[in-house]
Amino acid sequence: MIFILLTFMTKESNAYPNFISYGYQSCLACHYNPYGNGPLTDYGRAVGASTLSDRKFFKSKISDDQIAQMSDFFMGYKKISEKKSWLRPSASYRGIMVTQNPLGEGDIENRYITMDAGAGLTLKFLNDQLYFVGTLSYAPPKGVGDDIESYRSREHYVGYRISPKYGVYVGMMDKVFGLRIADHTAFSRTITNLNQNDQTHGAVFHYSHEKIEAGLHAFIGNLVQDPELRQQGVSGQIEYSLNETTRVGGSVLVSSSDLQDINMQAGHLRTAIGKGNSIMLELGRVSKETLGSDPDETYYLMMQNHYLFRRGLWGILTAEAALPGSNDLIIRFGPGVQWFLTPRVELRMDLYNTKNYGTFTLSDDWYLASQLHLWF
Amino acid sequence: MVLKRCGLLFVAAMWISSLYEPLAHAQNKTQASAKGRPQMSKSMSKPMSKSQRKSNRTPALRGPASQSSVSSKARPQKPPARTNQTSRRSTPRGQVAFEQAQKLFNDEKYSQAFQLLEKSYPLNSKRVPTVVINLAIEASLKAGNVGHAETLSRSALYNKISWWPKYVSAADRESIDLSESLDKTSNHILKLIWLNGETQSILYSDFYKKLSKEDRQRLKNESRATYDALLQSSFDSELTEKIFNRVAATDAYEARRPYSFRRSLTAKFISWSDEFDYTFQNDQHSIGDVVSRAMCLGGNISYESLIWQFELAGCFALGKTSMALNTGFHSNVDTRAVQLGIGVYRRLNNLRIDIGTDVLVFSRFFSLGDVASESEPVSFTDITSFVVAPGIRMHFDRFSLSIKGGKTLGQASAIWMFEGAYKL
Repeated sequence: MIFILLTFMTKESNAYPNFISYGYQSCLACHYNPYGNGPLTDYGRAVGASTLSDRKFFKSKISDDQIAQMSDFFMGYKKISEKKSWLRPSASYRGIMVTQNPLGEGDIENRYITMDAGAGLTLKFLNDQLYFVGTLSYAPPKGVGDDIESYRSREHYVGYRISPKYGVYVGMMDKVFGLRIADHTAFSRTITNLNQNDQTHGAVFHYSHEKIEAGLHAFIGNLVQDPELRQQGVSGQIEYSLNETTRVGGSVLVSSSDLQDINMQAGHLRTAIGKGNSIMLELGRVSKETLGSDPDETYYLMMQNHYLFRRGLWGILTAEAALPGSNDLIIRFGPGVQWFLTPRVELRMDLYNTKNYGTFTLSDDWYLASQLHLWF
Repeated sequence: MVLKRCGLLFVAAMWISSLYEPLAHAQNKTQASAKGRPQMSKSMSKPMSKSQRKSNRTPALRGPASQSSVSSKARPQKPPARTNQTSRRSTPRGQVAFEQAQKLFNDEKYSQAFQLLEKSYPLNSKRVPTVVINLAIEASLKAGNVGHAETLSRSALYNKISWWPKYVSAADRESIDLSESLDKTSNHILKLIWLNGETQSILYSDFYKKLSKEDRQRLKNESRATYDALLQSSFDSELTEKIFNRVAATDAYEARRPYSFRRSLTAKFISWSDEFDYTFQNDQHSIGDVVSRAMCLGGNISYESLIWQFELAGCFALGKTSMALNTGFHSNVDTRAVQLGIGVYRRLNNLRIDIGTDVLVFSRFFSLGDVASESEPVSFTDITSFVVAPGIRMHFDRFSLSIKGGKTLGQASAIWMFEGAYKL
């Protein structure tokens, strides 16, 4: 169980699609990557600092504008964004304490994992139409007994916005599919193989205009991997805005390697219920055909709600279901708290209970995930 | 005769044009902000119809309260009438009047300051500089004439910001991004927006009982609009918060009394696990582990105010259970359950979220049915236990969505409930 947790717990993604509750429908508003993750734009940094983070530790006379101005790299020291408009360095850290069996039967086990410690560099040219984004991150050992630490680039690409409507991105990125939520333990990320180390080399074509946002991703696999493991194929996503704070979307992915064929479809909804509160829903089907095995079909449902208690402080409730076999059913509930206690600092704590209603086995597991996320 | 009339008209026109020259600096700023017209969504930027414009220029409280139920202080008054021609001042005299009014205001002679401004400017006109309007509103407010201050500020706001009426009445107002528009708005206009919210929240708070239901609704809605808008601007956030807090505090106070009964239909998905006794044909007992899920249909009656809700709830569930017995494993065992209980919930400040807890009596019954055999258990001990389940609920109109999770007392694990409710 711990091995599974460690394999899937790592959270490198910084995407928060629930911020549709503030009217941010597209990730492009705050990230260089139109589908989120990776370095933030100047605007994204400012929004994070002045709108989404708690201001409990600031004196009341300091305005939100002033807080936003301090959102530059390393507290705005020497104001890189003003001196070198083409250069945007960034750094981030994510650590997690996994507590096994905090409420259930059995011994309590704790393990601290540095999930991500990375640095990134973004170079911008042609009035921010052309940019080069690269990150290099520490990757933790894969599980118990594996002491191999490594460094890897999870993202490096060239992006070019042909116009506000069209953009082309070539390099290594996450696959365009489904809701890119930060939780890598979510069924929508584990079952779909869209985890923290599942990026691929390829090209993304992105379109965004008024109510429609669409992306097409042609990929050739992670070129660092062994050739027989590389999944090559295409994925696409289209989202439609029903109003300022509600979007529905659909995704498809078809890919294959020498060992496995994958076919996936998903539909999703994300909507705001008042300012700061949101519901995200994703329903998907994943079909995998592995060499020498019977085809495997899994359905999953992921719902994650965010409840704004006060600026910077959210309650989170995650409810998930997976139907991996003929009669198996796995259900997971996870209440949690997310606190952006000050710009650049996020604390999060989730308590997960997973019940397996299997045909031949049943289980009832608990774990507590306490996270620290810093970014500069 | 005709020439004489033309001459008089010309003189009158010249005189009127000279009337609006005072405080050129402030006026220019206002005009500059008007030029930087907010970039609104399509629906917001549509020009208003004549009738809309007309109605927007009569911002007095509507409904019975505006005629009889509001006290003289609270009652919004008619726009100040133009007294006579001598009240209109030329450039230097207007400037002098403003400076005198400011001095009176600083000397805490608020009524006199307001009277001087009212005498010197047609305060209901959109051509009067915002800085003058703001001073008049503040003076009126300080003099204790909240109703008049509200009428004046609302009227000025509708006059000076063409998109304001549509913004206030937009159904999806919370999601409208005004930041770009407000960046181009002068500080005087931002202050006017704040004064409007401030006067409305004071009126709402101090005269709550004397206001009609419609007036309360309007004041609450419009003060909230100023709050939402100012949050997106560079205006002092602490002052902005005061508007919201004042209204919320009034609601919280008033909510203690007006309770009412509401009924809801509920559909709930329940997931739980148990350890339980079962009996073989030879009367031997053993302990088994189960995980169950069921759909529970029912309803609740709540006695609720705007803030607090006390509920009596019940539902009947049909579901399936997976069982690990020492004789083997069974899945999809038919399961029935009944839940009865009470709940207490409190609405949070943003009025979309409730948090609270349920205390339930939870009975469940299992049956192996035709899978039972000689080696299988023939009877199960039905389980009834208490459940304490804190939960959080999200509202959208009559629908609500709750997730509740808690402890089944006497059992090792937890119960989760995912509930949709519809208010009748």
